Amino acid sequence: MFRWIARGIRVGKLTTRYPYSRPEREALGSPLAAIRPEGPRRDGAAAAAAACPTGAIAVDDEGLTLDLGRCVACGLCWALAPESFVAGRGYATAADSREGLRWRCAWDAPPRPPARRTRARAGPWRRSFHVRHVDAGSDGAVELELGQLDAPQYDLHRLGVFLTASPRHADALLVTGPVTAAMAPAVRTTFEAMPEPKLVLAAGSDAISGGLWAGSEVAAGGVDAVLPVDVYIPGSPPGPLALIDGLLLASGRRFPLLTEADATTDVAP
Amino acid sequence: MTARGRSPAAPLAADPGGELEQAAERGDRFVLLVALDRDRALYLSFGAQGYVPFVAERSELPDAATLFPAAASYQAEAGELFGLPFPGRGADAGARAEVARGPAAGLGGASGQDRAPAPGEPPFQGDALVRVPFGPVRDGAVESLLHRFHYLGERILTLEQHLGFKHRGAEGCLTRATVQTLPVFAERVSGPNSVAFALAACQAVERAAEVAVPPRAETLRAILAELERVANHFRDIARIAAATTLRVGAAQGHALQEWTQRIGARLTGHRFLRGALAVGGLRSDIEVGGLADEAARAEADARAYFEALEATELFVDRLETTGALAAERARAWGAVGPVGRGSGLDGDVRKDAPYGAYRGLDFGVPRQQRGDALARFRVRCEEVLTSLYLVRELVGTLGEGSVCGEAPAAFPPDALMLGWAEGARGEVVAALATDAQGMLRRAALRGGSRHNWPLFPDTVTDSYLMDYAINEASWGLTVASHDR
Repeated sequence: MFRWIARGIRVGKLTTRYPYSRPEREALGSPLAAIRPEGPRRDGAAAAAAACPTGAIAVDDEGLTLDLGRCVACGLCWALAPESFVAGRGYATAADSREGLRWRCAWDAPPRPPARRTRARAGPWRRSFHVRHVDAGSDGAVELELGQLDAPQYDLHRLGVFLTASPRHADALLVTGPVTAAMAPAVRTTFEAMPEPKLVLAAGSDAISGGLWAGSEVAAGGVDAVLPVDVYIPGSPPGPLALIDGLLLASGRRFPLLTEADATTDVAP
Repeated sequence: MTARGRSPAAPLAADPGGELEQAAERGDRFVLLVALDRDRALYLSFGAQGYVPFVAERSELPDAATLFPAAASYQAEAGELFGLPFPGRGADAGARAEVARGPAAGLGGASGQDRAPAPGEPPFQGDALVRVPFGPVRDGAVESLLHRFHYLGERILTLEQHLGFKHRGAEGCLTRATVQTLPVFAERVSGPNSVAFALAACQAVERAAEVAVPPRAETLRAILAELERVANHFRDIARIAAATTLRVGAAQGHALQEWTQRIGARLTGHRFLRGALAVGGLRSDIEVGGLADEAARAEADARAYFEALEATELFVDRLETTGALAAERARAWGAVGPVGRGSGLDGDVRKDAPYGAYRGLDFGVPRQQRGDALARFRVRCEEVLTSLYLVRELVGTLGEGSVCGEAPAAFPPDALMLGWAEGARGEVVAALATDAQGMLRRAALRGGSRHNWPLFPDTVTDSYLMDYAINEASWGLTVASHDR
């Protein structure tokens, strides 16, 4: 046992300072499509919209809409229409409404990201926030990232956020996956077992919109179809910092950095 | 028909039953059985002459489960999804529920029953018998499945395993894929094995369409595949440490996994290395400067970490004899990945049917004889070191040049494409069938977890409740790639 204590001390502190200071975006942000700072160009955008495997891009006469809730960051849009799209990264990406993930942008106009907070959060969760996770058909990657929140680099507990085993202890339900037919009853039962007040978070593009499995006959195509969702965390999968951001947004916790990045969804090249 | 040659075409077998018997006589390993549509099924085995596929018509489907025990769950799945009528137990076996029962004899005749208990039924009834459903929502951030135990005191008498809760119709959605989006879909069938699945799918198309992949792309693909293996193994080792309540050991495993994922994110822009592979090579070139030094550093860290674990008696004692899988059973099943190699098998398709940059590469395939959790842990430790060594070797041989081969505009029409790759949890096989227009008609992706899951209950029955978590962590299987 002493060997491990000694090892722990030797390795030292690895934990990120986030959300007290800004982490390196390159290393830690989850990839998502972003619109170029100069704004989207009409040329090529239609081809990108047609190629997008999840239909995240809609093009019309005035401009385009990029739905981050559908984006799986496959990279086809920024490969096919590099004058409009770029590989984006962000950790302040969660939103409390589906609208908060839709980027509406006029042709050749600098993109204005959507407002990600539309409601005031006044829950009793400022100091401690307990979350029950339910996997409703994910690809398994979000579970790995949730597991990493326990890793020393993130150490979720320092923020007063805990993953809990019992729904009776849970303030929030975090659902991953498009909600398969077999898991829908389990998701509902877990939600019903939770005490009021309670929140629902949808993590990952498949939990938000079904993602690539949107047309499937055996999945609901998103948590929305089963439960009212309070916070959406986009990404395929959302990275650890994006998950932390979504959890803090849901709990209503305020940090200097969060308040600053609070207003709009933050995805940038 | 060789493993290295062109895509093995799958002939319609004149005598499918005879083909199966020949495969069994040759001592081939059973790989998979999938329904191609409502009328035909594809059988695939692997032996000295490489992968041997054949197709059987609905009217003459042989019962593969009599020769290869692993085939039963595949037959059940094909029956469930495509309505194929298999003879024998495959047809009516509880579709995705596998039941294993302990020997009632061990209870000293306490059963008092005349008839043999039905599958899933405990060998006797009584107040002391505890029945616990564990799942589908389980403790912690883990994937959904249901394990239902009957136990007496500390001893598990039966384990019913119900999988399929996560069945999201991924293979059905995969038929929408084009040559361009095939890797995008394949990467998301089993998240932690993104590279292995995409690689198997891409290589299936490349083999069938005779696409030459540039050497630089092949080397970079192998580097990514090895990094993925390392990250997955660190994670599985950390989970084993967590199951033995070694908190610091678990945290340090997760820290090593995190560094590996960050290296991957720097190379490809994605923590799970997604978006790098394309049919024909890579989407774009990857800058690997400094990777050899990082791999050398990671190797030293990993070695020190593994030594610390091995020196912790409390940890080793909990793993020893836990969840033992006998070598004969593993061989008959054709167990793949660290599970098979922990039970004395030496199967590794990087060596047995080499592809891409592995063709000219010299490396050892670690294996252990004990078959228990300790063996599976040790196999993973050795594989991490081998993989990091391979990363350094591969970076050293990386030449200049293009990374994008000439990808075909569409899939070859009326083709059955087969591709394979060794993932962190074993062999990944892609079987893609196209129609006359070159659209995907059926896409089956079989990961190592799909093959090994039905074997897992074997090692739980007649074991102790406290060992279950350690045993499950030591198998390290993903549910997503089973349920699809």
